[in-house]
Amino acid sequence: MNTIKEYKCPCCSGAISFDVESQKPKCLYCDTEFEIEALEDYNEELSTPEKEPEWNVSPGGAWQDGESERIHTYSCRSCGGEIAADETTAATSCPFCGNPIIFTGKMSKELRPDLVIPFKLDKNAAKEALKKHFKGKKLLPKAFAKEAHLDEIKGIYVPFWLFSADTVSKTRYKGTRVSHWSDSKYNYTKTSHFSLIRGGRLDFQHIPVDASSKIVNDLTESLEPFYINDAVDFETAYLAGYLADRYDVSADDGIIRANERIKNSIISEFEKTTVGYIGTHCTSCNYDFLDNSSKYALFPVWLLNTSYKDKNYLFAMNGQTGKMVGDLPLDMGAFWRWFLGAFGIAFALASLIIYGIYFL
Amino acid sequence: MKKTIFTYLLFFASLITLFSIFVSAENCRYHDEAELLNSSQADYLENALQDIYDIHKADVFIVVVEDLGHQSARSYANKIFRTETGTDDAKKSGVVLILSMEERDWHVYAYGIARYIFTDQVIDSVMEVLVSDYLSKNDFYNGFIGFANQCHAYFFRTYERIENEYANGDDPSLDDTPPSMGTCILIALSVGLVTAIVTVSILISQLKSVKSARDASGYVKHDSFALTESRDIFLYSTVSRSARSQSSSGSRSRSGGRSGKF
Repeated sequence: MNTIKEYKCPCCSGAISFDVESQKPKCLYCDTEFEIEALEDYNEELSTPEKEPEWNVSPGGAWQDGESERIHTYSCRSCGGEIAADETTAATSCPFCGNPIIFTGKMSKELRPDLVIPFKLDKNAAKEALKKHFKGKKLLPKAFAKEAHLDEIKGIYVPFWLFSADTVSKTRYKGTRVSHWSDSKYNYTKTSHFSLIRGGRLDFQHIPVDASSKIVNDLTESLEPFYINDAVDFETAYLAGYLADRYDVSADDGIIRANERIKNSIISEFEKTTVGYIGTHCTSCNYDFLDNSSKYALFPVWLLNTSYKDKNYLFAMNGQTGKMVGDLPLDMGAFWRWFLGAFGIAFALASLIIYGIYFL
Repeated sequence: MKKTIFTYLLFFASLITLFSIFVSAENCRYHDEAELLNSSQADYLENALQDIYDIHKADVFIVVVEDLGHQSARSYANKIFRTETGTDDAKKSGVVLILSMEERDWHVYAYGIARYIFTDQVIDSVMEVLVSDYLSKNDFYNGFIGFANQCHAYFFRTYERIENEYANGDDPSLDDTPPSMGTCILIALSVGLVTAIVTVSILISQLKSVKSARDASGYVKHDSFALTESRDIFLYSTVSRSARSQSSSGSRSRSGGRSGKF
């Protein structure tokens, strides 16, 4: 038994039927007529659901003999944070909440990282970067830079899943073209609607996804980019003097974020090819992998905890590039001074200009 | 804190002073720099002009200056009309007569609906009589009273007819008449508010540095992008139209202002 196809109107989603007079498909509700090909294509889009491709996820490796013995693991009873440190490194406080941590054992069952980017910048560079981060911020309370107490500064290797993929995709957009003309009585505006189909290939390499739930993804993504060219094969010696956060977000969970970023990139890259249209927006995006892989890496981050007026502020610096991020408090007094000042000056200037135009 | 409050009070006081530019002075319809009339004549004339306003809701101004200096007669008349009318009604209507004594020039400008009453032909015919009978002979009092009477007569005869035409289409008050004080204040306030909001938004954005990455554009392999399919399919089009504003009919003329010697 053949499946009956129902066609929906691209204009109003109403039912379509074949109009004998015009010999074209026509919407019963809005009376818009279509070409057969356009209708077939539009309905093919509706009938093809978006699906996410499958990853072959197997990052990380196995520890070599005796290697894991040299790495101690610690646990924080206050925030639940779990970190690792070289046996020569004295880890006494949690880098996330500052509370004491306890030794829980040696790293053995964990995955061995594939790559590590060693620290390029030291603690002093982090302190200087923090001072520079405060400068030039007109709405920052002046007392914050002076009184903010740097409670803790810790160099920590943050675990990341790195996802690489060669993708093939097919995306659809809707766009419009507008034309204007006039006659003696009326001004006319014609808006033409198009379905824009783009397909092709786009390859990604080492998209980082934070593998620790202790540091919010926004913070670690703000620290990007991390340049993989500086990455080396992991050796435990790199951990000496630093802490390493243990991953608690699985690679399978990290895939969700990787897929989001890949899809957004595909949509924006192919949208650039829709030239000559206005109001372009994506209606569907399907992609699949020709090849994909994942790795487990440790990236260097300096975490700086400060406190001001009994509130904690967390700043982070990319230990490779020196990029410093962290939200700063707002001085409401400065806010209103700037608001009223800008308002007053603009108001006075506008008054003078209006007077000059109309009354001089 | 006290210093901040004082600073802001001083600043807003200066803004208010600035705005005194827009505030109309005491509503006075006869201005005489050359003191051509004595006080009783000036009062009588002022009352006559006020009567025209009370009856026809039209402002008639008679202004005597020694000379206009660098200002054009049109801009001087605009300034007088705007600052002296004392009303925010967008449909305000009136006439301004300016005598410049040094050049012995007269200028007449009409505003609002009055531009359809005091056409160029009407102004020329009125002033021809007034100049020849009074102004050229320096009989300014009778000349001014004659001008007021003529205004009254023309308003009386044609005001209702023109008001119907105004209601049907083209708004004659918008072209050259300066905007009302309320509109000026609103524009200046809007500019101030938008500027303030944009300024503080930019400054607040400096405090925020933590934000998630939208996509993975920084991790695209160099030269890996390849477009293998590109199809643009026309779906449908819609056409809308709006009526064009009708141009003024040839039979309805209006004044752009007239000048002459006396």
